[in-house]
Amino acid sequence: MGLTPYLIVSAALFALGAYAALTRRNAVALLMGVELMLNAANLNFVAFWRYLAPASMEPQVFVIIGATVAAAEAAVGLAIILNVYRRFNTIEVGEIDRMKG
Amino acid sequence: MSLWLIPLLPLFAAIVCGILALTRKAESAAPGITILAVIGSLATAIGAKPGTGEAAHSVYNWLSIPPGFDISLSVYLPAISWLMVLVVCIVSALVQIYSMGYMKGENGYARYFAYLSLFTASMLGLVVADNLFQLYVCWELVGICSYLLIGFWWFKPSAANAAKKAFIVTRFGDAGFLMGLLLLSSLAGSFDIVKVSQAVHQLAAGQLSVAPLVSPATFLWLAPILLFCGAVGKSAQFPLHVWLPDAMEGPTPVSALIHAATMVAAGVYMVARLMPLFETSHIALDVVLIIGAITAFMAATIALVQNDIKKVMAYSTISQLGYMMIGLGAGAAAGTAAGMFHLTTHAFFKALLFLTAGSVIHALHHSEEPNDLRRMGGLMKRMPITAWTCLIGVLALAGFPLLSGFWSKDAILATVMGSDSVAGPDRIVALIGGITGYVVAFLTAFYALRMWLMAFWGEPRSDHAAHAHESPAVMWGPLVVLAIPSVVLGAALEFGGFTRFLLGEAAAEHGPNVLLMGIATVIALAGMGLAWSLYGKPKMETDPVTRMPTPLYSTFLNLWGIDEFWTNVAAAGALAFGRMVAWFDRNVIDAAMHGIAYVTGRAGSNLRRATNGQAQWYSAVMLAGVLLLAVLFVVWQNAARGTARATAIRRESHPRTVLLYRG
Repeated sequence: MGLTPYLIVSAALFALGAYAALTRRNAVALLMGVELMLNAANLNFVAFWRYLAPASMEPQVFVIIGATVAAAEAAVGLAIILNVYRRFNTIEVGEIDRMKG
Repeated sequence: MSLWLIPLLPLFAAIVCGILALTRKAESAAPGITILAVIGSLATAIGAKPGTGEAAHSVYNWLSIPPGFDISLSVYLPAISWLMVLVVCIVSALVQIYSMGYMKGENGYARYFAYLSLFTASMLGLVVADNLFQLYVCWELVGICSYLLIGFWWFKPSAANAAKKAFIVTRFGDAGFLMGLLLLSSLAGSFDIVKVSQAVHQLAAGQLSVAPLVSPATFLWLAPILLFCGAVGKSAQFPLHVWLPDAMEGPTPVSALIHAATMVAAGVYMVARLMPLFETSHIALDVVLIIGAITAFMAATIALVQNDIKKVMAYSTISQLGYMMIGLGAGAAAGTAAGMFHLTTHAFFKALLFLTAGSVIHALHHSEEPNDLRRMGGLMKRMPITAWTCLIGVLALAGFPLLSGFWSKDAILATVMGSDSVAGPDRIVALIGGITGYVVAFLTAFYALRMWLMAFWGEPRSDHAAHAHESPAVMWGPLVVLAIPSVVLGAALEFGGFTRFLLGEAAAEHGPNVLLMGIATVIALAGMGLAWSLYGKPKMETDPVTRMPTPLYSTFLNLWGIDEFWTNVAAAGALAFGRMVAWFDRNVIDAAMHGIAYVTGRAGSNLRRATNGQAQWYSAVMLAGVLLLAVLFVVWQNAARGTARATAIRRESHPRTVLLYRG
């Protein structure tokens, strides 16, 4: 089947995730977009391991670490969203614009 | 070691008085301290025998610049320096005693004495220097003191301006002086005067070469003339003499000490001290002589028509300094001796004249114009001591037979008229200098006696003059003391072997020249006779000098247009140039600055809209940036690969071309 289809799927997944992360108004949906992007990267890793370096173990370790980090990130992200909700009484990202000089 | 007391005692006194002046405590103690200090210096100098050996030489090595370039401070007392030390100390002590009376009750009493003492220390440091570096440092220090003392009454705009003028005008000369001494010390690899003159003589003999910038022949006349520029500024020679008459804005004792007896003589002293450098070049001596002659003549003619008693003396001082330069211009031992001889006698009688003028001004200080000769008259009866001592000074200045000015003027004229063209200036130049000397002698005799007669003779011409009183003893005491050398010093030095004392046993005494002396006497008496016939009347309706032909009178009154030249050409030119630079600064440099600031500001306020606080917007921009970089990277790699391939193909297809190029 070859490497290319995997990469195409991965790129599409990444693009979808990025699109979601950049355009969704809801912070939870935004977080989901970020998860998609991370998983796209993981998919890339697995594909490259299988086709370019099947003998080496490092890419698999990377994928596991990546998945773990993604889980931790989701937990932290949700915690932040909860705090944002308490602070601003909304999770609409468009209304949270304090990050400017 | 004790030699160091000579400059350090007055310096220490100046510091103490400076503290007194700043803390405003015990100000009346200031003159006591400074006078004791200068008398201490005088005693030290008298105790030390003049000479060129170890005993009269003390060196402190201040800075060493490897390899082998030392800057040292020194006290060195060859006869010429020793003589100057005595002159400076004696005049300074008398002027300070006199100042106790003259400056009594002035604001800044201690400050005044601190400045005077600082001046004395600097001047002593100048005359005892054995190297050009110390000479230059002290040269500038006396300039600073002169500035401070001219501007002592800083609240008067005229005094503040005169101080600035003195400082700035002398700077023109000092620039040349600095260049000259750097040129010489780079030739000799040392600031030491002995080493420098050795190097110059080696250069003259062709044993040494200079940097290729100038030829040795040029160097030999250029370096002394640059040094002479310093003397032109400091000793108020044409065309930089314009500061000295204005410097009379300072207190009169200051004029006596600094602007008549010592500081303005520093230029003459410097030329005399560095005579070995000047002697190697006819051109340098010619320049010294001609500048001296022009100065002497011009200043004497201006002094004829002045009505301010201090201005008369100021121009007289300029004229006499020119006279000394004429003497020095004759070169060799005789010229040096004659110039220094006149310097010494002039220091005493001119200090005397200034102090008597101060005494008169002090007596008339309630008048609006205390300096104006036209409002004086008849002071002889009211101020007899001042009048008599002033008459002695006038006669000494005029060259009245047997008084001190008579001998020293004769020495100069005899030297110039008899100078041989081998070691001296060109014959014709010397002759011009000599003839100018006689003309100036006549003019001097006339204006000196005119001044005295206008001030002391006849009937009082104002109420203030009619009710003047003799000054206190602390003021007339120094007058009497100064009158003594004004009478006898000339004869004493003339017959005391001055030239041998100054320049060693080898030097020849010129001896009195009876014929020239007779001519000089006749000329001086003629000048005084003319003054007597015009001014020796009890009543004076109009000033007789105004009756001289108008073109001459207006030329003299306009100071030969030299002040106007400096104001309208030099100063105005500098101002115009300044305005041009200011315009450039405002319209080009500032405009560029404002333009940059404007562009940056506008760019900032436009870019500010990009920071809207939206995290999604920021990450979108970031993503776009990463994408852009990625695209660029891919494009660049493809391009590089393409070029490499093309080069490889070319190499394969044209291997011979490379060979051909190699071959």
